[in-house]
Amino acid sequence: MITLSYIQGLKGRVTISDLLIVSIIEFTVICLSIFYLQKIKLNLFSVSISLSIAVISLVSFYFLESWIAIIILFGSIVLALIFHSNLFKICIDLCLIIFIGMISDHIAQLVLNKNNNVFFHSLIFALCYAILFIIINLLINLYKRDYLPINFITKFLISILCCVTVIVLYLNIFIPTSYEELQLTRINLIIQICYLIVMSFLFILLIYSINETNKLKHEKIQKALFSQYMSSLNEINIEMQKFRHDYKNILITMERYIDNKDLDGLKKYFKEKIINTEKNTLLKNSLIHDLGNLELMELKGLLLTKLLTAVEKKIDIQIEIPEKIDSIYMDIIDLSRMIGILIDNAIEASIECENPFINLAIMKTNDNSVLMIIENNFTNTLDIHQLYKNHYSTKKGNRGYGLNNVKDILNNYPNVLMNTSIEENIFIQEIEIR
Amino acid sequence: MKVIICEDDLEQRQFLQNVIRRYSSFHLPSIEIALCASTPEEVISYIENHSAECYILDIELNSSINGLELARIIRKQDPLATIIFVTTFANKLKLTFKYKVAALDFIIKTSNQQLLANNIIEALTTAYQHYLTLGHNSSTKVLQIKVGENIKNIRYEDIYYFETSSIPHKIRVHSKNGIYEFYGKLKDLEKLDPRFCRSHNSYLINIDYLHEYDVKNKILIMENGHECLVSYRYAKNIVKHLV
Repeated sequence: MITLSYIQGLKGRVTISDLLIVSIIEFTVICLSIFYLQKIKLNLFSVSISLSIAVISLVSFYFLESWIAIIILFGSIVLALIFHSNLFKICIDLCLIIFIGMISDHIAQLVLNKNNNVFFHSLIFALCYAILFIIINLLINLYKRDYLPINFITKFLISILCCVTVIVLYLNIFIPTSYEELQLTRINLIIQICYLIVMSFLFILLIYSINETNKLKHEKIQKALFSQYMSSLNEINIEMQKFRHDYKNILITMERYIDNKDLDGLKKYFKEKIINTEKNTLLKNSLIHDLGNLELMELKGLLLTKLLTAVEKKIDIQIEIPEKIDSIYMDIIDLSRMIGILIDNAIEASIECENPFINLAIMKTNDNSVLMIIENNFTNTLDIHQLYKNHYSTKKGNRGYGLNNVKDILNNYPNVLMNTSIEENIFIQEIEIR
Repeated sequence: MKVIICEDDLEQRQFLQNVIRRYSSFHLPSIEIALCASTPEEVISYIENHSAECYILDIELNSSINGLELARIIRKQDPLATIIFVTTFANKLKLTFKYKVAALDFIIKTSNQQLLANNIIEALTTAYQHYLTLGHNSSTKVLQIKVGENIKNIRYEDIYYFETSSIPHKIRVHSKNGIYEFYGKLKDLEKLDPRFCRSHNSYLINIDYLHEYDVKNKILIMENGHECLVSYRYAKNIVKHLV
């Protein structure tokens, strides 16, 4: 059926033996391709089903119109496969087979140049087909590794695209035999315009669906960031409540020391029990206050969670947000990802120091861009020039995770500048967002 | 170098004044106190007609204008002046002051008078050095990058190379202290100094830091280990400099 154009070229001079040779080659090719692509095992059951499909379509091709035979053939193939695999894969594979088949058929016709020997034609056809099939499959396997999960709508659209393409291809073969030249051009024009319209429509749908998926993903991340913020707030709240609860006990104990005029005991108690145990709670509480001017909830949540872990690790945190920050001209998820990486790096680098610290500032500059500064100390001899090379990280094992990702993110933002420097043994990251 | 002091506390003001006077008369006679103000308004009206090179400001001024705003007004008048802040709170908004008004230093008021005096003198000498370099800044050539109001001076001799990014007009400079980004064109940077040498459409290298020219792979290896590309068009340019 895929060498239809050739058979039509014979114009009625088809003998049954010719037809048999062509069909045997063609069905072998189609069956083998489908078996390979759909990963069907060669056994009595599968072979007999394919044989019966072949016989049915061959008979209908001989006695009925050829287009009916084509519909019967592909219809029965789809029916046979639908229990084995999904429609999407069937569509793609069939489309691929038909495409390769038609191209091979045309190549064979060109090579033989009006020499209508059926045997040679079939031989060259099979050869071309095999070569093209192997090349295309190699290419597909090569890129399959970056295969992303496709959602239903996209799959559906791609399937329709395949079907439309196949129909148009067949129409192109059918029409030349039955019309005159002017009529032919007219019909071709109509087909092309229809194809264009269908294609554009499908593309618009496809892009729309991809956008929708992205938006959904976006919202999901945003929600996750926000709930992170809420849970950090909750954590601090619980700690504050515990503190308030302890507060009473602390006062009572202190009163006892005072009543006994045990000043040394009071001093010791205050330093050891109160300052040390409650310092973290108070520090954490002050974090919320320091982040108060930041009105981007997602970023606030991220900073709060990251800095809370930093406080737990006994890192001295200074936050400066001198004025209200309510908008930053960067996608909030990219921004959060970037800041997350930078803060993680700062925590990791500073924690090895004797007195680890991280200074964070977000401010507006005089020309109304937003400036973010992250400073931290570090111990190990950090080579700043290695940082920006590919796959570099001071951590072993987890290599090249941080700064290059930031670089990749910023490659999409012409309005963002980033400086990475070391001044007086302090590691400084400056990000200016216009 | 003329110095202006703004401090609302009388005792503190006199202390500052004494420390600076004593130091300047013994070590740096060219430092003189032009004004010793108790309110920011005094300073503002003074700088309308006069100028000074160094300002020592208290952040927590008991007035409608605080130290930060005063510094901003001063910056508008004189972008090059040195501003030193005096504050009671350690580390308070240090970065903000650095990047918003390019404050040179912070002095934290401590009860230890000797330490405070030392810190003031230290800041003052840095300010004086800054003042001197302003007079003849042609001796060391620098590339200036503005981050907020804070100006970074990157000396030409510290620069390894410039590269363009995938974003038009964004240029990344790799220097000894770090990597900085700014907007510009390599074509203009090329004219800055003869040591800067174009090797590729997207690379401008400092020829002094060229470590190795890998002719086979068309790569220049810089002293910091980074690799820069060489294009056929600019290869001659590099070879000319190497000979």
